[in-house]
Amino acid sequence: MKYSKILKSLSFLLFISFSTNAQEQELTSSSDKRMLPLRVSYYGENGVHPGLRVGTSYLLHEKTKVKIYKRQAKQSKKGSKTKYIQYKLDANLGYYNHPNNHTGVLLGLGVTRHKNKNKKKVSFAWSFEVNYLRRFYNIETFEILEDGSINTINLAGNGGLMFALAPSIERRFGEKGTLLFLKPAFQAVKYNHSNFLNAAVELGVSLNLSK
Amino acid sequence: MKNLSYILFALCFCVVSCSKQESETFDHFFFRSDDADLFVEVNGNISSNTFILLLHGGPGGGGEGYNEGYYVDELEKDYAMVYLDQRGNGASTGDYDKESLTIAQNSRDVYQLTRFLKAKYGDDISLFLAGHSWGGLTTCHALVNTEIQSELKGWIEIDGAHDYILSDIEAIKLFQEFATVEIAAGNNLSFWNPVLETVNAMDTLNITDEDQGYLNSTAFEAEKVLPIADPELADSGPPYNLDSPSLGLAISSANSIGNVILNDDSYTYALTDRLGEITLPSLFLWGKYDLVVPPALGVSAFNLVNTTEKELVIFEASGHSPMSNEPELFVEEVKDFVERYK
Repeated sequence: MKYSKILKSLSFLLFISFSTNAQEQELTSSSDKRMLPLRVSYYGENGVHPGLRVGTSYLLHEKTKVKIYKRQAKQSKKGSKTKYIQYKLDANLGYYNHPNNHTGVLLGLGVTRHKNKNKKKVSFAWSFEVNYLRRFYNIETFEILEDGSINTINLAGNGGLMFALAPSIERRFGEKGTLLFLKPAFQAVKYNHSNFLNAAVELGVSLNLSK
Repeated sequence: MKNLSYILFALCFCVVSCSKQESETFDHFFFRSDDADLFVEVNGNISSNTFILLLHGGPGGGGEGYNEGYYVDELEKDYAMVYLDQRGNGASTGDYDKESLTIAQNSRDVYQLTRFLKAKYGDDISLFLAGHSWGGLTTCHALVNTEIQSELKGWIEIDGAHDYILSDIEAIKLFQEFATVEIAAGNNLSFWNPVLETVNAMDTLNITDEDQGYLNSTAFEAEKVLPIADPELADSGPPYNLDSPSLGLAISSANSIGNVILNDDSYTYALTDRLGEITLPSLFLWGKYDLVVPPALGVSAFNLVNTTEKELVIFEASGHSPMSNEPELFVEEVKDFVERYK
């Protein structure tokens, strides 16, 4: 039952993402759309529980906004401001280790809005992610049966959907468009009897391997 | 690609971490009980075949907070200490409903754990159940509501809150007594004068939530101005441990919410009237200056349990935690009791 809910949620997100993509096809360049960068990052659950996250992103839509100042003097002094905005669909797989407790495995999709002004090297982004988080205990789990015998529960753990809102700052390097990014995430995660706020931080790179 | 290799290597290096492994003196595991996965750590002399299952206080504590200091070092030399994080506390987790956050469920969990400990370490082990503060309520509830007495050699209650309502009433009386003496002696008047005024205004037949909060927080403040020992032996260890199984924002948030639920539920059990159902050898350890759970509860429990094999020890220089205030005497009393009945 739980798994069907998760599949439905992920399918819905994919459907929305690709629908949007279909509508905006003409607005984006076909060369950009082919780029599927590899994103590799340190994933720190609560900052200190170390993990690794890999993923890629797919350009859904991009637009450019040019701001021209109404006052001639200001326009000639400062020039036009150009904002480049991109919407990307992200797919990620990751894990982390909480010592003496559990290893978390995350599978997620997200949408990120990247904003860059005047093609500067530093840009900012906001992501909304839906992940399925499965926790596998690092230590053995037992139960006692009615007859008094011990049952060892294999792959014991728990899990659930995790929603995350994550601002990030990115710095572009070199010709290939390699990005270094720092991305703290604020998460709503199923734990025990309800959903609670959690946090994580990612520090990683995005590499354009296809170029 | 070379850069990528370096990055991957560095990230993998970061991710590798160590955790303690099972040994003759250390074991830890999750114990599943009614959809909760309870974190259990067993430290000490496992081969002694004598186990003390210690329930932490709170709600809001965890076994980790008790697994440090002189008294555990000494007890672990001779016995295996079992530290359980009760449901909704510490690193205990699981996929359970909010409705199962009750003292009744916690005591069922404890009973199941005692059965498990016997199945894992041998049916011939000597098992004692100990509870400090709020943990005393869980132990007492388990003793009178489950079959746990048949699994145990003895009960050790350390400043245990087996009757929240009685505890509040006795706390008001004790505050009045101490405040009167201290004011007469001219000690810490700025602290005791307002305390006396506040507790005098409380109605023992109608103690409000606000009163309960005041009594609890002021009881801990009072320990700073009462003649309570604070020996260097009572080392509380490092302030924060990155290897802690209960370190995390979601964990602490969930426990905070769970603790409110458990605290409210704790007020629904006044177990004084049922102490006569306890027939086990019993040891009651109480701090003379415990204003959180006053010694009057230890005295009444000592009088009411249905056994002649019982002892009450009032620690003359202790507050709510005699194991920290007078650890040497505490260890002596526990060892004496365990050796007698194991």
